[in-house]
Amino acid sequence: MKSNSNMEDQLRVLLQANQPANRASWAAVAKEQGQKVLGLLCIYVPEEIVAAAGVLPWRITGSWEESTPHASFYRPEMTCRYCSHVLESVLAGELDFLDGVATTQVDDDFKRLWDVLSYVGKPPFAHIMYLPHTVSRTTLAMWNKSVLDLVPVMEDFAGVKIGEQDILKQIEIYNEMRSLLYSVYQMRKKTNPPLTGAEMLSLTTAARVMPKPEFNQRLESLLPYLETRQPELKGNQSRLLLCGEYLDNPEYVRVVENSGALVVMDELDTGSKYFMGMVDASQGDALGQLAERYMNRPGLSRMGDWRGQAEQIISWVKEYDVQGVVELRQLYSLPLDYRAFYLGNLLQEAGIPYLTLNREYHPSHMGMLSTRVEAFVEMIQ
Amino acid sequence: MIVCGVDIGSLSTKAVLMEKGRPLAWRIVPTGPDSVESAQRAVAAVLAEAGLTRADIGYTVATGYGRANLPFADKAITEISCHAAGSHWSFPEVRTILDMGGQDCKAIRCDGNGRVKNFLMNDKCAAGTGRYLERVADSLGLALEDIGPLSLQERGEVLTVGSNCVVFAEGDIIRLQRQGKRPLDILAGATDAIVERIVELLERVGVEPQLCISGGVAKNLGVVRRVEHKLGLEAHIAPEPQIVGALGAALLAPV
Amino acid sequence: MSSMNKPGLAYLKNEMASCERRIKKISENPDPSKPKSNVLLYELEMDLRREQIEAYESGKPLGITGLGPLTRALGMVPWDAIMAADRTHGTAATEYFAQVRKLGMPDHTCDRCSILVPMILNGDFPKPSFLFTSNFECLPVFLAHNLLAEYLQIPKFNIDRPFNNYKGDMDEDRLQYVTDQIKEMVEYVEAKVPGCKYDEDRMIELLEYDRQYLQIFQELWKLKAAIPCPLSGRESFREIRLSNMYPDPAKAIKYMRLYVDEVGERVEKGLGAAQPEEKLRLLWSVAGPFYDDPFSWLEQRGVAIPAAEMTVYNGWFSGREPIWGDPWNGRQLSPLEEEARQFDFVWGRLGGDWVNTHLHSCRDLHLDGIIYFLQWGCPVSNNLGRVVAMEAEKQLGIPTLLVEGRMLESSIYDREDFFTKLEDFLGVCTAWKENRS
Repeated sequence: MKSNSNMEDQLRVLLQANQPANRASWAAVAKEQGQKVLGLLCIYVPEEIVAAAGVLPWRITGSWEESTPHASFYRPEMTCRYCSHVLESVLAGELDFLDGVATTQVDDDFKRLWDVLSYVGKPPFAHIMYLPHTVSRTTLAMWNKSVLDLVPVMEDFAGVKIGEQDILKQIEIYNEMRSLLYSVYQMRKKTNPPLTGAEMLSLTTAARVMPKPEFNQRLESLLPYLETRQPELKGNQSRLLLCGEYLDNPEYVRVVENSGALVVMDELDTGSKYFMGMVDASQGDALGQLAERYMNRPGLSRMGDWRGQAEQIISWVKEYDVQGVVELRQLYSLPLDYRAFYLGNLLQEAGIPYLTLNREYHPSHMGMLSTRVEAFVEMIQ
Repeated sequence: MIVCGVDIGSLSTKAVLMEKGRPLAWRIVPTGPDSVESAQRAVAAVLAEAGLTRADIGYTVATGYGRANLPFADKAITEISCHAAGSHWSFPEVRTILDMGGQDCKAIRCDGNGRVKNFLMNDKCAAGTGRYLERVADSLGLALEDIGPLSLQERGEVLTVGSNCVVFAEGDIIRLQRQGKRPLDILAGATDAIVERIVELLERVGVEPQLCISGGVAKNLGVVRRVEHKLGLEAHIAPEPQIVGALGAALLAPV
Repeated sequence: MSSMNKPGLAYLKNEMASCERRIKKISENPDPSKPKSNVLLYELEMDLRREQIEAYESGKPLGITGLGPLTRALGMVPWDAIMAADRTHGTAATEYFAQVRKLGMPDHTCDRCSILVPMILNGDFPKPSFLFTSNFECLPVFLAHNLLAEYLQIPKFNIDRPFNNYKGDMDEDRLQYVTDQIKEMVEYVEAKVPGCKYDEDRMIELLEYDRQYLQIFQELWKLKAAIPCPLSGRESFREIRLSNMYPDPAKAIKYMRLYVDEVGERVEKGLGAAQPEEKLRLLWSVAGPFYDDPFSWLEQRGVAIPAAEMTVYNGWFSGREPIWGDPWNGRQLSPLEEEARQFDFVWGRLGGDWVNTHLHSCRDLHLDGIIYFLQWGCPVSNNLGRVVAMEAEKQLGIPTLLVEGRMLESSIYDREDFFTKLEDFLGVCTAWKENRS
């Protein structure tokens, strides 16, 4: 049996993986081994196909610095801050190791980010996939074609042939990652969860910069320890669910949790929405099943089905014994801005306290946020 | 047990001593660059006033922006909960509270026990805060304490001043001055503008009688009368509206 | 806010009254500098408003389905709510923004989409019977329509336009895909909106009207290229409706014929809008400060605005994009396929077409620069302004002014600053023009 401190060291590797100093290190190793690295922006590009081509899928975290001098040449201040901070990292040369980038047109900001990246030719390869914004038999069929099209694109990009076995193998690896993360999420239901919300976000973002086999192996060996891990509870901590799209900086979760709360569930593209939903390839048609999974999974915030999203949040509130919903909407990112009014009404009907606040992408106005969240926590306790 | 409430605001720090739910003494001191030092000064002053020493205080609750860093506090509670508690203590029938300080503006709804039911704070910019009024007074060359009553004087012409941003409001004021408009009419327009933002915030949180106004701006009669008029409600004003937060902090100390 | 009997009619009744006033003014005291055909235009507008009022009062469905004739062919009266919101600017818009904030909605998103919500919730605008959303307009419209539909429980249908990944073309599969969705929408509307039934004969008839209407418009495009430009900036910026929007499309065609002939006469006489003589010709892109009148200001300084670039229409006007009835892939399209093809316009495509449509307009109309208005809350246009500017400089040697602002809400507008920027820019355009020649 390894000692707890050894286990903590192992855990720290994962929790620190997406910190600025570390996040490119696995990509660097992959490059040394002659592997290509593909930057991803959204959660819709089926990573299994990318990995099946022998390419490392690597989620782009934008610059966490406040200033975006390079990006503001192309993007006015009042546009999606995540996209601007990504563009900043690219133009500042921080991501020169990337061989390419792939995304869907999740919304107009992503589409235009892709436009500018292709225009400036950085990274040297940029792919955009069509993503439908509603789910129906018809749209799913077209999404299927988008997914099928990705295969030759990745083959050209990596100079390899992708066989069905390659896809099936990756599906297995990705499903394993999903079920491992899902078990950790199950532990969040405990009165005293093994990981804080900030640590959980660090873990899910780690999964996106590391090769999945290594991530899986590391997380699997930590599971027994996590079952026993009990961070000190600070009195009566309210259990919160956090919404907030592309929130990838644990600092923001820390601010929420420093207000006497524990984030025990999330509706984040960087958290639950990234990994929830398995691919069932047991009956064949691996690519079709893959396409289905990437469209049909819990809580797709960029789609128009707000009622479905609200119902998902309400059901998570019950499942995870949540006392309030805190939403940190990224400034100038429109989808949650418009949804907030509607979601607020629905959560009120359901008797669920809801606090919605704007935030920047980089850590900013933390004092202002903490006062509001603290008051919210005092109110619901 | 004697309890102490300390409210460390951006401009002033307030301290209140209470015993068995009765205030013993209160003091307001300007906030210096060091918020801990300011809090110590406020507490020392209020202790001197009451003729007590530090050892007499059984429990201290801190509130205000500096609440988290006060080493001698037993507990930190936000201004929002403290204002609800403090206002409820002064006026038990109050359900809606407007607190407007130098840096922010809060609209709070509370229940019959003074507990927060809902709240909203203005975001980021100074529109809708005391600082807006300071800048207006400065631009017009008037004293801050005079602009309330002056804004209620009979108007010549109805002028519109931007309310979204202090910087733009100042631009408007300069433009109107250049056009030779009466300073009192400009002042009335600027006061209308800030009240519009305040009422927006209140309506978003939902107004339920009775209403209480606290914070420095409660001293501006022009703002108070306009808010009352717009909402069709008479507002309670705490006798010393600036100490409501510190009072609430003391009230929230365990007895 | 509304003082009328049934909520929802305040705006429409005001619009009718304003058209009436204009017609009366023209008949009593015509302005020789304005086109005589304006009378017909105001009549058309009045006909539409009257029809909308009658429909709303009698419970006939008012629908929003896009640009083409499908709305009418489904048995609905078109309700141009977003375009109508565009006309609510200045202090009226400021009041709506106060409500936007009261609702807890952000006030930094696209003006027209923001104020549309309180306009309909207040009952100043009729509540539509049906709304469609799509990914080929823009995100704020998608979201505003979605909010209204979800909140007010209005039947809604989303149509997704695909692009053939990064190659960007529409192919048979993709045309079929949009057509399938339109067919599903037709079924949905027939089931959910009482009184609606798709009438293909009507559809075909209206398609033909739109074709004729746009053909006349294509003549106008050539006339706009004349030096000096016969059109005033305000005329260039006039919101375009296709003939199918009006209750009597034949009258719309009659109007367009008359108008284009008048412009032709101006060209023959060598008349231009810029005074005293045309020195510069500029493209005005996307939106502008609609609460002010920079167009007249520019004209008085010898600057013509031959075209507004909203990236929707200029493709049709210039003949670069197929118009209704044009063959496609060597065959004639069915009416619903036609509708599907027309859903594919530049606004929803990838950026290359966006840049090119600007450059085409500049080339065709011999322009010397671009005023590119970065409208708050419009990610589609804002995030490509710089690329348009760079390409305009590289390919055509013309400068672009990127200027930020709001479209309808004027409380933060700094007029002096705005016109100083315009004035400086005119200096730049003149210098570059001299360099080019």
